[in-house]
Amino acid sequence: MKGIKFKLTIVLAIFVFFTLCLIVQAFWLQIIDVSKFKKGFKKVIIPCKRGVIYDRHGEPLAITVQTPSLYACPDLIDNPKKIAKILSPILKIDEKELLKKLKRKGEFIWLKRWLSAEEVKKLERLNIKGLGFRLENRRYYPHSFLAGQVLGFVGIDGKGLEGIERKFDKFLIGKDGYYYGLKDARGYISLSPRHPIKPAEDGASIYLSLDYKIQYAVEESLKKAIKKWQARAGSVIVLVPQTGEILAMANYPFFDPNHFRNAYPYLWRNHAIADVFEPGSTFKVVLLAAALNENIWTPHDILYGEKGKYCIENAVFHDVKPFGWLSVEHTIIYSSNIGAIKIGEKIGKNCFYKYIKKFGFGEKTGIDLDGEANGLIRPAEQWTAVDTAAACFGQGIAITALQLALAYAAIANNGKLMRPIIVKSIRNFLGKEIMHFSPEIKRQVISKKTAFQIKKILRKVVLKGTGQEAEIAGYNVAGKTGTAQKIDLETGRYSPNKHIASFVGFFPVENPRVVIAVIIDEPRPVSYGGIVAAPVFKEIAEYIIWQWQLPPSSRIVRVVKNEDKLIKESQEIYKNKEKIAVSNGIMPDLHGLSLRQAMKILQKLKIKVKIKGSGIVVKQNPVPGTHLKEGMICLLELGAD
Amino acid sequence: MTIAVWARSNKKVKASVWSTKWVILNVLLILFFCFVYVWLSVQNIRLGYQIAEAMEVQKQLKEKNHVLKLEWTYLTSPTYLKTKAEKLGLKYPKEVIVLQR
Repeated sequence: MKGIKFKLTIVLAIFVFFTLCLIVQAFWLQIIDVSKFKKGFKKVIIPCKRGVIYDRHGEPLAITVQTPSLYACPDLIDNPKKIAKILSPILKIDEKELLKKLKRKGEFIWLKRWLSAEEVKKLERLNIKGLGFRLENRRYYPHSFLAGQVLGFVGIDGKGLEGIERKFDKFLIGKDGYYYGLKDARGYISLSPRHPIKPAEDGASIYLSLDYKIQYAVEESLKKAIKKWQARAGSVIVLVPQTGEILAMANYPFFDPNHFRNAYPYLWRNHAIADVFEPGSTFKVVLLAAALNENIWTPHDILYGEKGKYCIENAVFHDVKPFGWLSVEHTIIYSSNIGAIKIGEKIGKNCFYKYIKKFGFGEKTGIDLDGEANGLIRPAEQWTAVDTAAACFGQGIAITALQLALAYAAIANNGKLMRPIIVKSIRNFLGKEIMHFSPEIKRQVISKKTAFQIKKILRKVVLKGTGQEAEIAGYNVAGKTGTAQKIDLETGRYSPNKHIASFVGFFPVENPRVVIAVIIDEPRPVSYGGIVAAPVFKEIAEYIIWQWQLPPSSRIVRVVKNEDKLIKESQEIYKNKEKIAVSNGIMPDLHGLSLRQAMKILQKLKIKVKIKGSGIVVKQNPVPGTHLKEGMICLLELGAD
Repeated sequence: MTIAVWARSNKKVKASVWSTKWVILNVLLILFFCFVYVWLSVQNIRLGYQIAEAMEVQKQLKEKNHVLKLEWTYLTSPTYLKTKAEKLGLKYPKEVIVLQR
């Protein structure tokens, strides 16, 4: 009995001893030696994402996603020659180049960054020892070529290198977060209880003023015109005159920011703001503005066209057609160079120069994009008589397409020159607006009265002058054509067969909604702005009319194929709607009906009507299908077809 | 006298029993606090795992969201749709057709 008791005591003592050991060890690890444990925690970076670039409607134009990249551990690769041979056709990299990388001594080397899904699949199937994938952020431009030069691109290190990406890099880049964690034996990460977690702050999102649909339509029209006229290049700008918001900015040849390395750096340039050109006759508007605003000329004053030939200091100036007596108005409508010189002679170079500067030529417009050019406008004191004469019809001076578009926008906007807006707002990663770019009036360039007079003359240019190709049935379009000679770099003189065709206009004249500037560089065989650039304006304007459902200024006659059939069909629809409405006692669908047809139905149903707008029914309240009640009022919203 | 001796020894015994109890109570208290401390630490670590896991899930979901957004934008971009339409032999409409709703 005594022996058993002794043995039990020993066992108990052993248990107590080991329990105590465990407690001591736990105490040691948890309390005394905790600093060593703490040191085991390593700072783990939570990478942030670059902000998204959206268009004005929230359509993503640039977005960052993770893409696998392939790396190799050369020390772990047994047969580099064989592996290089296998990898070469998959990665589309030269075998020798791959072998050189694989033979290099070291633990890590990139073989190819940003693999495609197909490449990853093939490589995973091979399962080669010593090769691995690592996820890296990659910037994608889902609309590929769309507004490539405006958006710019980012380098492999995620830094913005051109366009919006570069200008707003500090907003887009974001801030990495971190936490302290410890990897256990199973590979799971445990967070340090003593260190706070700092979440990653993704880059801010940028909302541009661009409309991706209009931008696409602009690029398509521009591409078509360039191909048709075998031109060298071209630019188009579409902007809202009242706010200065740029809706589209296209430059041909386009470039895809997804593959920016494949394009020549020349194509990265946003030519519409970075390159200058001699505007030609589109510049006559500035001269006209100076003449009318200073009351030196009136639109109906007469001047002599010198029958198409005019000499100043041994320089001979010509007109396309020989003109005799012309009014100031007709000088612009028929784009007479000699007429413009005569206007310029009377107003004087200093006054003309003053208005050139007032319209913003020769200085940066202040657009939020890098690389903007000032333009080349020499001070008036340096102008000779020939220089002054040439400047009257837009030669001998150089401006950017954006400056020209903004000058026309100022006329459309009753003389107010606006600062261009390309970025509407910036929102942080929580969606809170941190910056908003409101319309900013730079100055009043000309009086409202002068702007009205110029608008009237520009309307006539499209109605009966050089810009007839821009006319849209039912809409009051105004604009001016331009055909400028280019300097031949070899001879240093104006080339007889190198021109810049342009058309700048806006519509509708009574309340201009958009200004469109079209510049086509070296079109062939025809080089007139009215033939080459005006149809591009028309195509873009028609798209905007359709996209925005703009009502016509006057009744329009639409030429529709199978018109009789369509009229018959629409009459049947009307009859059906009338029948349904009267028999069921429910609100009929009035969409698409004319006001008279809708009123007829509603009168039969004894419903009072409130009308808003003109055209056909585009909206109704109560909605179709609502049960009719006594004393019901129906609100009809009318709009364009 | 006998009674006094007994009382004295009883007092001693009582005191020693009390001090033993006191020690045991203290030990138990320490053990209890140690247990609570260790339990809290374990909970802390467990929460750390859960947070790390949740963060990973959040990261993956965010990534997926971006990928889907990209895919959606690409598939609905005019450039892509035009290419697809051309492949299918679709042409620009030239006549207006009224559809009855």
